[in-house]
Amino acid sequence: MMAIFRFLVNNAALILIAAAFAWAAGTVWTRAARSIEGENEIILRVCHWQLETGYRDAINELGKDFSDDYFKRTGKRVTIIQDAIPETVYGQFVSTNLIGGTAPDLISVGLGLSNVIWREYLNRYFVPLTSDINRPNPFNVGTKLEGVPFKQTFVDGGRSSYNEELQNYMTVPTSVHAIRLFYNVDLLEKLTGLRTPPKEWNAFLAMSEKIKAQKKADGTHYTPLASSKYHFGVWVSTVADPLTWTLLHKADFNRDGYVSSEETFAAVKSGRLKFDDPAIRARYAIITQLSPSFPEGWTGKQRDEAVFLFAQQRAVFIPTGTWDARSLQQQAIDADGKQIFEVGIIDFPSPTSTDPVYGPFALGPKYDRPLPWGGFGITRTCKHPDVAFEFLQYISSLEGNEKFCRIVGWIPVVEGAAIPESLRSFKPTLRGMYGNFTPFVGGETNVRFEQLTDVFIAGRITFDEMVRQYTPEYLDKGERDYNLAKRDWKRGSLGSEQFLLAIRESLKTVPADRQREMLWRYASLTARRQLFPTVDRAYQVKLIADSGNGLVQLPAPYELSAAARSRAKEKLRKTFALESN
Amino acid sequence: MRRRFAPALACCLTVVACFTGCDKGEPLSVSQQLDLGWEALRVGNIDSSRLHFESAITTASSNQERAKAKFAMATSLSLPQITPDVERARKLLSEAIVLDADPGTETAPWAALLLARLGDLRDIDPDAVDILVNPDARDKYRDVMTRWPTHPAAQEARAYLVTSLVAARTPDEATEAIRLVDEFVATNQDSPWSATLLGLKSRALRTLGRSEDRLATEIQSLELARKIDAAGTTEYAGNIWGIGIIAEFEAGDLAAARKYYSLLIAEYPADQRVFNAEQALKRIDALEATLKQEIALENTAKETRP
Repeated sequence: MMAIFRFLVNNAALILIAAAFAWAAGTVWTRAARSIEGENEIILRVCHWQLETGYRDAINELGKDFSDDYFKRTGKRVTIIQDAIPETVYGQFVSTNLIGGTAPDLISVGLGLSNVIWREYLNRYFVPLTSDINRPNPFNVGTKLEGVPFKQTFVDGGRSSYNEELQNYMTVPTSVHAIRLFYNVDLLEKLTGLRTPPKEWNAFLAMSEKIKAQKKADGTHYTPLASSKYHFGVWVSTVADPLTWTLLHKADFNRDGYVSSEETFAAVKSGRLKFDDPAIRARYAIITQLSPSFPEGWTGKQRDEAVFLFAQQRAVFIPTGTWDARSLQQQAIDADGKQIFEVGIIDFPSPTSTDPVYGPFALGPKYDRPLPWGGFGITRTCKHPDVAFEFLQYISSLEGNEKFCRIVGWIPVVEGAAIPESLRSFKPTLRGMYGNFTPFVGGETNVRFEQLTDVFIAGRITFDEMVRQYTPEYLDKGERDYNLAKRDWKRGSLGSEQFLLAIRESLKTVPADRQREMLWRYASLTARRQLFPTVDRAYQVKLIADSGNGLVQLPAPYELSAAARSRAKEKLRKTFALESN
Repeated sequence: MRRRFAPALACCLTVVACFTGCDKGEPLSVSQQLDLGWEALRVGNIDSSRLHFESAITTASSNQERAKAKFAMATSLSLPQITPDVERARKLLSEAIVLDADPGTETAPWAALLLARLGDLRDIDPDAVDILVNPDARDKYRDVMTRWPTHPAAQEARAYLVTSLVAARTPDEATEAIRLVDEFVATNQDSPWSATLLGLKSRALRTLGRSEDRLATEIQSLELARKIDAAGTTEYAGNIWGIGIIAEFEAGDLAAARKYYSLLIAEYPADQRVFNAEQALKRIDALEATLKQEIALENTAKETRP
């Protein structure tokens, strides 16, 4: 007996390794056995990182439906095998399998690796879907989307599927995500008598005050809004940033609809914009009103701690995305399946246009960027790429996507697909204001801005003091940051040229019937990466130089020039004359 | 005992591993070496690309092959930021131009174009951060256009030459850029470069303050791009928005502005600028109402004037 024990102790490491090897070998063997296709059977392996409730069920369910449909048409069955990989090792799993040539047929793209690596993987290991995605989806026949090109059936027009660098559509999305405010309906009712919180900002604040004033049995106060450093960012982007939309009119010098950090620099340098602009002041005023409703010490809290606070019914509201919807709803159910509390979902509160402080900047709702989620790409090692694409068409058809999202509890990506009842309030608002506050030029200004923001949020300095301290440092450090950015841009243009030349070489092997299309893509890519940026940068350099020399008064970007006004009037006069004749 | 055999066993395993790892296949052809090198360069694996290209230079058996290999090697030596050797790259490019001097040449024009590009990309002092183009490179672009006028490299050289001229932002250079674009587009409407060149012409017209011509050029560029891009692979939301803006603020063509803002809303409903377009439409309505009022007042004043 002692001998056996001694043997085990002396060879513990060896035994452990042997056991791990045996387990790994067993897993590989069983998986390989599962991957062997039977007669009249097609196996598709699908890889994703969605371990949330419902997702795997949804894939299985849609897989069965698709298989039935495919069987009727071809006499063959399709079996879907899922590799649901935890987020923490997703990048490694995908890399190992793609490089090793053992990749699943369909891979959900976007997590665990940098954008640059994903781009290279898409280029090397995935099948471009451009020609297929431009054709109508056959599973939409008989619906209102019949005959519509597949890419245009998505709420974002297929933008998320398109890879600018590769000039190809590479993935097919299955759902959209949005961020909303979740709340404990029962707790809200208990503390305020309301089951639906007010949407108007001041009424929402008054309700928060009422919540905060009440104590639990242990004597501690209730927290209106669960928050952490992470959640603070969500609050700022959804509630405070949209108030800076009007900065467009002061700093969007190239009028592309966005204010870049360089444009803000030019605007501040020239004096056209000041950091105490009323829109910026409003942004900080709303942040100041928000933070007292957060839990004590929220700046040091992690994301999970805020969720915990909500799950323990110590906080009433928490902002998060649809991906957490089912999980949060599950937290509200105890081990016996009994509902502990009801979870409600609303859009974020916002000031109205009649608000005395925020009214001039509250010109509309906030813009919700549709966030298509984890689109699937087809790998080059896939034995049945046509069937894999059909499966994606099936999941992302009008009816298929409705069913898929109903099971998983997410928002459909297909235009016009019914949103599950519980997620109605998640429907993205596509017409609204977005933030245009870009207060730092590069690293140095960013660090200083963050430092001062932290001090401001802690209540140690006022907004005016923050602006007073930041402006001269911004102008000084901003110049250095801008010069660094220009150097980076020059270095970047070398990299772009290298990439473009390699793309151009690859055109030589493209079939003759696709030469013209590919040459167009190459020319378009060259224009976007090298030609237009060179000219636009030259204008930007001039703009910033002019903004500081006092010689040129920068025109307001959205102000009609006298010449344009006069031409517009002349055209109208002619129209009048024609009408009266 | 175990200690005595362990090194011997390790040696044996190493020898076995080396033998099994050896490539016993046929040596790669020059074309295969080049393909592998370009693939490596595309994904940023510079050392690997240089190894393949160097090997291709050594094993090339014809002047054409040698020229291709030298051009490829020059690319991987001149553009990456990792251990560049621009001087050797220039030498290789000059050699490639000489080697591949036949009339139906393929590589020489690309080599000449890269030499010109190096003028813009490598010959400007990196610390001169405000200088983006090198006027000295322009003659080299012109040289490509003159020596190989029908080769695709000539079209690309023209695009870079026009870019260099427009980026200078002077009236003379802008005028020259417009001439180069018009000369090309008049006879090459179907070229994939035409829409891009018109986009550059629009920027040159901006320098000259010719707003109405600029608006017409932007519209022509968009229409041409959509015609060539039959598969609809490119997104045009930015172009459409830009036309609305030029029409409203520069050309004073409110009808065109209204048309393109509405087009953005209809074709790209999820675009972030849709809200801006809606605001712009309201702004135009208000402006038009004001202008109509002014015109009416002026007309009344004219009529009542004795």
